[in-house]
Amino acid sequence: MDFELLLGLGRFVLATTLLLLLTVPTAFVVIQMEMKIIAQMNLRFGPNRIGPKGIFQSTIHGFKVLAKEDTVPDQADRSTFTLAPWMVFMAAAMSMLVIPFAPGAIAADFNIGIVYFFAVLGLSVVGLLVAGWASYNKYSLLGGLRSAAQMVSYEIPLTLSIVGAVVLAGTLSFSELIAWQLDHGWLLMWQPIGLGIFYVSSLAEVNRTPFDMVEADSELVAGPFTEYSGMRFGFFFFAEYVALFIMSAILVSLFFGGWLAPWPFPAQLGGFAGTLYGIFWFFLKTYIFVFIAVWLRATLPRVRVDQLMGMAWKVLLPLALVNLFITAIAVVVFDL
Amino acid sequence: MTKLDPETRIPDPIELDAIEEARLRAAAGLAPIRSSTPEYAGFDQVGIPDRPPQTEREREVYSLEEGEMLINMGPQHPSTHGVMRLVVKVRGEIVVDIDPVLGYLHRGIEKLCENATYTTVLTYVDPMDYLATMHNEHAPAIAFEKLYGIRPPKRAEYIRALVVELERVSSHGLMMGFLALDMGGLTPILYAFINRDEIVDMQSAISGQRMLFNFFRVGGVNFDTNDEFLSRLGTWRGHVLKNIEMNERMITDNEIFRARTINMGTLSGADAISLGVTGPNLRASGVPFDVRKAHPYSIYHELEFDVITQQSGDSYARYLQRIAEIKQSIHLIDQIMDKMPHGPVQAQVPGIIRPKPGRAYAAIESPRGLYSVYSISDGGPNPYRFRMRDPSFISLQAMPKLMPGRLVADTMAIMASLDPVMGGVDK
Amino acid sequence: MSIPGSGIAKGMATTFRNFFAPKVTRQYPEQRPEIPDRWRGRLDLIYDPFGEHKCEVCFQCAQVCPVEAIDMSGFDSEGNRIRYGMQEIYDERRDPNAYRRAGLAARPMRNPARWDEAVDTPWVDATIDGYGGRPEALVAVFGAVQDRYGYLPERALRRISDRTTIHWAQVFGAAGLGGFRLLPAGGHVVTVCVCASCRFAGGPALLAALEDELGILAGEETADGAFSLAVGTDVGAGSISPAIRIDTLVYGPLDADKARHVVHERRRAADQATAGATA
Repeated sequence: MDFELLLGLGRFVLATTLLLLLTVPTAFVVIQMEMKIIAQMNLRFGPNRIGPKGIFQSTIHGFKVLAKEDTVPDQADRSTFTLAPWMVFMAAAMSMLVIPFAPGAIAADFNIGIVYFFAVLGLSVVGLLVAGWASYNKYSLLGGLRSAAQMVSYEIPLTLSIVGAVVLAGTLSFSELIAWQLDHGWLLMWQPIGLGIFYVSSLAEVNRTPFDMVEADSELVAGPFTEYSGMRFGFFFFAEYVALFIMSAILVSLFFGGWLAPWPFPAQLGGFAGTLYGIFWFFLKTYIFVFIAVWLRATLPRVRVDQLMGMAWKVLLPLALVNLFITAIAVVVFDL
Repeated sequence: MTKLDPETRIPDPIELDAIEEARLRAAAGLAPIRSSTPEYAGFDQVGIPDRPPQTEREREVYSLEEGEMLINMGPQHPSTHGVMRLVVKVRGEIVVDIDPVLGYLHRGIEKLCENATYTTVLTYVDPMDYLATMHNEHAPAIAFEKLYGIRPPKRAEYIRALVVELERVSSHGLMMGFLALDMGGLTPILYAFINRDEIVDMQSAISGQRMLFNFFRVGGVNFDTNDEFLSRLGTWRGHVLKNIEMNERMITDNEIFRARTINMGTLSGADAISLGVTGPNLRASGVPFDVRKAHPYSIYHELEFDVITQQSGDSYARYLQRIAEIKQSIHLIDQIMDKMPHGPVQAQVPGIIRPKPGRAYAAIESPRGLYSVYSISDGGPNPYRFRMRDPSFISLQAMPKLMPGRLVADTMAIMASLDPVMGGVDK
Repeated sequence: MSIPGSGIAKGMATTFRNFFAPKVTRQYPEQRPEIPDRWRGRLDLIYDPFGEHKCEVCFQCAQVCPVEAIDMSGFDSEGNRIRYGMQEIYDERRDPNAYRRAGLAARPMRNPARWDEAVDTPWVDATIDGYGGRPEALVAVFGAVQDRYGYLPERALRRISDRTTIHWAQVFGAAGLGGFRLLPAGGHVVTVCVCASCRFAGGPALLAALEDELGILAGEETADGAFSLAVGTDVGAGSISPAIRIDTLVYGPLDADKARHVVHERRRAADQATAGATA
């Protein structure tokens, strides 16, 4: 058998395993950040008992969820009810495959990575819809339908907002996009409108405040998750926070130069040292955006569902089209 | 059913209850409870009572047309205030009809009070409107004084007005927070509680209790002010406006908040009057009625203040009305502290009061509106009849008028803007 | 009209400033709250400057308590024990008739005999008075009752509660002490301690010797019903282990021979008493 193929296969298996393992600490870190930062902004201390400065609180929560009883409602559709958390979680975990952490540290460097990403992340809506239907609960049903409407609507401006960037860079691969940003400066300067649309839509896509329609605890208890308990609920919870991390990571790769430092990349750093340098910058930028998302949650109330949909169709979509139009003309006129 | 152990002959009480319930249901001609219903059968029928409708209104709410379903908001729901149950009939997400179901917190306070002496009645009314405990005591105290024919000393009246206005600041402050919380804003409620905690500490310094102060007496108040109370009051007065402003910065200009409250749940002045809504909810609809001004009690005729009103009558106006009243109350507190006379705080009253037969009515302006007490004496040590009009209960009447046509998300926001307290509604 | 987004920006600025602001939460076990001087929630009685309780047991507080939460007892000026409380209400709740009145299915008693046990009430009263009616004598009264009946009948306990004005719950709780039985047992109960120290010091050997002496195993009763043998960890005699207890008397430290001797003596005394009674 071909040795090259075997090596590639082995590398792929290793990378996917590592990424799957990475989701757990990532979720813990993001949840911990959320608890602590919101608490500080509320003039509370937040978790400060478990571990130094309370840093193990979210870990303990994770184990607590593991230890809880896993209940299924009497009249739930048992098989789909069981399957839904996996669908949501795997959608999040699979989209991590194309995240460019650092030069050389990308699990699968597809030439259509951006398309793959949006295709796979959109799958989570199926899981939420299934969860909402299978639970035999009206809150869950309303939440599931809301999530379907919301995510399908926001997919469109979300995808269109980056078409401008794709047209500029002329590639669908994350690593080539970052290489383009190394030569031409971060896309933030080229696509400010695209960035704005992308940020708003991505918050809606991962159900973050002010667009957390799906859960909406003051109206729908916990949306599609209402009837879930134990580790199944844990999977939803993990997926949500991993998705937040992923969205921040994609935002960074698309508009903020991915692993690039704010100043020119030191040429002498190659190989492993270069990878570490890239990982450092990548994670720093990503967690800054996670912080901003948490900060928004601490501040804002939730918009209403009709306002949310109106914004997607009446504001973001036309804006994204205009942005795409201007970019295309500029590309033709200035021959970028 | 499992076989009973012949040794012990102690049947499982749950089993016994089930048997008993089945027997009673059979006797009442009701369908037996099915242990397992067919899958997805009548999903939209869940929540409809399994007995024939008792009233015309019930028939209207519980008969569904094509595409409608019932949702139970409460009594256990993350955002119902207390234990209130709203049966919401929805078409998709749009509310078609709403039926508030009350009584989950009913404690029979009126009846308890009729069995208590006049002095102890003042302890029973405390947990009614638990965000305005001092107000709860104020009205019965005035009514009993009218019955017994005494007047409290001047200083007692001033101390009463002081603690009552403090309570109003804390209650209205909390309403800001709860309104934001029901729209998903996590932070304002915690900022509001900072303010409230200081006020509760202050009031516990003067009365010796938290929450349920039990501070008013027939013919005065329990204690005079002390240094601890006054120093806490001074500290609090120093930064209360800053605290309220901090919360206002979070809410008042926030675009999302405005989009969700302006033109939402609009209650016209005429509707409000015909429904009997009082207090800030009425004044937000443009009707200048304030019991403190219209029927002055205690020392309010000696204080300078205006009746604040808003014009639009929507949720946002109700919110602004509360903010304005907080500032007004702080202004009143300043005046009270300036004018407070010296003297005793308690009139000479026997331990067991036996008023002459007669009846008395007293109304006050509580944070939720006109709170009044009607008491009849038959000459004995207990009130023969003791009746309370709670403003939250009346405010809830407006809900079926405000909600239809809105979304499910708005039910909670509108309800929070009316600021009902279930302890008072259910009594 | 302000700039769109300025309201959100104001809120964001507020939360960001508060992110670094000092926090207001009280860290309870480390930071104690300031309790006001007038606090009415203190659960203790106030002392006068001479170290005596200021409470004179006038029951005024219990009488006016609107929720009937105060249940108190004490001594009046002549030294008699007096009580005010809702004991009768508590008792009624335990009564099967209360279930019936509440419309619930009556729960059969576990041991109906205990309700019909005949108790020599004047004798119980005399015993209590013999000890002065003081609450400290509760255990001694229990001992006397158990010596007479072989266990503590419920009626006797209720009589004790009424007579000494000690609350029923306390009397019942004290009857759960090691050595007292709430159900009749066969004859004298010989309890061999199997707590850790007794087991280490030779408890199992004692048990074997006594099983041999009485001819029964632990948990059994002799054929004539005069003795039953039990094991327990509540003999409560750490310094004299290994120990046994016969009814309420504790013996120790013992070896196998001494244990046989003690039980033998006890049996002889019992036989003599029976003989005297029949004579």
